[in-house]
Amino acid sequence: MAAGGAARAKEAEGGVTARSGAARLLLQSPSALLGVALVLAVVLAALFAPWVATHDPASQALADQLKPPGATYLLGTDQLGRDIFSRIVWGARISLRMGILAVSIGLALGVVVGFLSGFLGGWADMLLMRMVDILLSFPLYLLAILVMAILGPSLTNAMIAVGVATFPHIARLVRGETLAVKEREFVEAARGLGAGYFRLGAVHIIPQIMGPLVVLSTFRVATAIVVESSLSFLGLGPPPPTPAWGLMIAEGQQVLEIAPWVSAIPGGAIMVLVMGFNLAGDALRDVLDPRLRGVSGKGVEEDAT
Amino acid sequence: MRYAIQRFWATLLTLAAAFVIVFFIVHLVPGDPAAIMLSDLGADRKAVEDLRRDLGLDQPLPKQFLRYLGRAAAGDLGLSYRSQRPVVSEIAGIYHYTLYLAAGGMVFAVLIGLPAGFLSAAYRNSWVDRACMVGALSGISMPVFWLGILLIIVLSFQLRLFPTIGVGDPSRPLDVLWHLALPALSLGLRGAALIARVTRSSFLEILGQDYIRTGRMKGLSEAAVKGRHAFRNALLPIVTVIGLDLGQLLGGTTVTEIVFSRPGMGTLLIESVLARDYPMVQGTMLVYLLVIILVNLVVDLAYGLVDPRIRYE
Repeated sequence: MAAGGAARAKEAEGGVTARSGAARLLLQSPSALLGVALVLAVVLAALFAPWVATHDPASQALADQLKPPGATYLLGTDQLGRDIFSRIVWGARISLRMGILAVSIGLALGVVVGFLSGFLGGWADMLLMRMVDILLSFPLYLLAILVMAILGPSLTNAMIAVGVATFPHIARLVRGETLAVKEREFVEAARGLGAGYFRLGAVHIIPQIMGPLVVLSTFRVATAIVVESSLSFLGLGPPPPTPAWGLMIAEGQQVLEIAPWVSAIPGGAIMVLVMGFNLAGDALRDVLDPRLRGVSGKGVEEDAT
Repeated sequence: MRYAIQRFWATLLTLAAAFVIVFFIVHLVPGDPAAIMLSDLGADRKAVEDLRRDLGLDQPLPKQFLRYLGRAAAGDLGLSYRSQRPVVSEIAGIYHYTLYLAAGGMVFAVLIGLPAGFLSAAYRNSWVDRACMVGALSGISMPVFWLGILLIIVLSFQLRLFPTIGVGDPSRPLDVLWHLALPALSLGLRGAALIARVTRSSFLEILGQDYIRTGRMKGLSEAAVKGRHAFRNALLPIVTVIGLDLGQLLGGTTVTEIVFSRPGMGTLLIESVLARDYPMVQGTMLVYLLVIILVNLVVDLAYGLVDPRIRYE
């Protein structure tokens, strides 16, 4: 037990110095800074929505329908006279929560399945990985729509759908990394000392693969936000008058010819947030996953697998 | 040959999984399908029981599954709750619109992505490279449906260059293509962005290899080095990403068809999900999955042909 503890302490120490080096590298790249700034801007707007928003997102001013962007209404109003800027600010909460919770569901499922698969090997591995391969061969959109067809349209269900569609990618990554780590001496030692599966996974293996896991999760949050907004756009997400960005775009489509900003602006918000996560993911990959450093596009390749 | 057989078994397994998943859609939905079907008609308990028996819902699950398989094999996917017409004939009437759209999207993805990635690699760190990569990042970060809406705003409403909705007059091929252009472009741009990024990184990796230096040293022209030696070897990851993107592209047809109000498999699927028309959901989902599985198999086999090394793994 003492030996295991000492080894762990040493590993943790290495982790700390690597991390502060990582933070320095992150701050040196302009595109990384831009990514972090974009995400941070949206997060702050969402956190302080009651103060940032200039109007009540639900209040209708029928005299002020379809006003173009201007001084009173920063980003204009929709066909019910609602302030688009305020709706976007409140909608940021939905997109962020969706993206992060959906990926958390995917992480929880993926880490367990991937770890068991890699660690147990043999039949369990084959069975689990076949299942993952099958899910991976179906496109994300269809998988999400399929889950929505079963559960019925709602915000929570959209989150579950995107989470389920996310987990195969995580499982595959965790399995590969577990295979690589499990033969190392410190894992053997912990096993020899009688550590159970949970302890081996939680204490010895998962911390070792934190880097790639964080990188992949960042990219998956970006994807989850796009898929969620698509589900909302299709009417499979939360019901009106929720200020979900995808739903706002769908509602704006009815007045596209006379008031294009009603649809165009919420889409811009999605793009800003998604691009922020993608840039941050690129930067994190360069820092946390040195094997892939400098090979731009590698993460995307994984993404599409 | 062993590679082909292995792919074949994997495909068969995926196929079986697709059938099981689609079959269970109806059974995982909370509530009784027969009651849902008749809910609008205000039917009594007896009618629901009769319908349950007609649909075979009173049978044990494995038996129901075999029945579903047998019928599907015979080309019978049940009746649509909404239209009361056979699901198969509803799909047969519109599936080609989705095929056109997916094919058009792929054409745009390759025609834009490949040259952009190649130029980026050839003129690394120049303004061309930067412009292409910023474009690619935007393409990856943009939701397909929003891109479609932007194209409609600018090219249809402002510039009046393209029609906004519909599929055009089928007797005039040019009209069909004209209606297809914007949806295919908005569907294909994401793929183009992915292809551009992979093409760039693949070329950069190959251009750093020893045999490229050897080629240059023995006096080959830059065009011969990049065009012949580098191109063939760089092609592999590109073919992979194109193959993988085909599935995503087919999935993307759902949103694209809704944005442009085009008839097709995607519109049918979404409308059926919203109307809780489960036989129709099952049918369209099944056809989507079958096509995707087939495409994946063809891509895998093609991959083995392009790269002889993979067959010996």
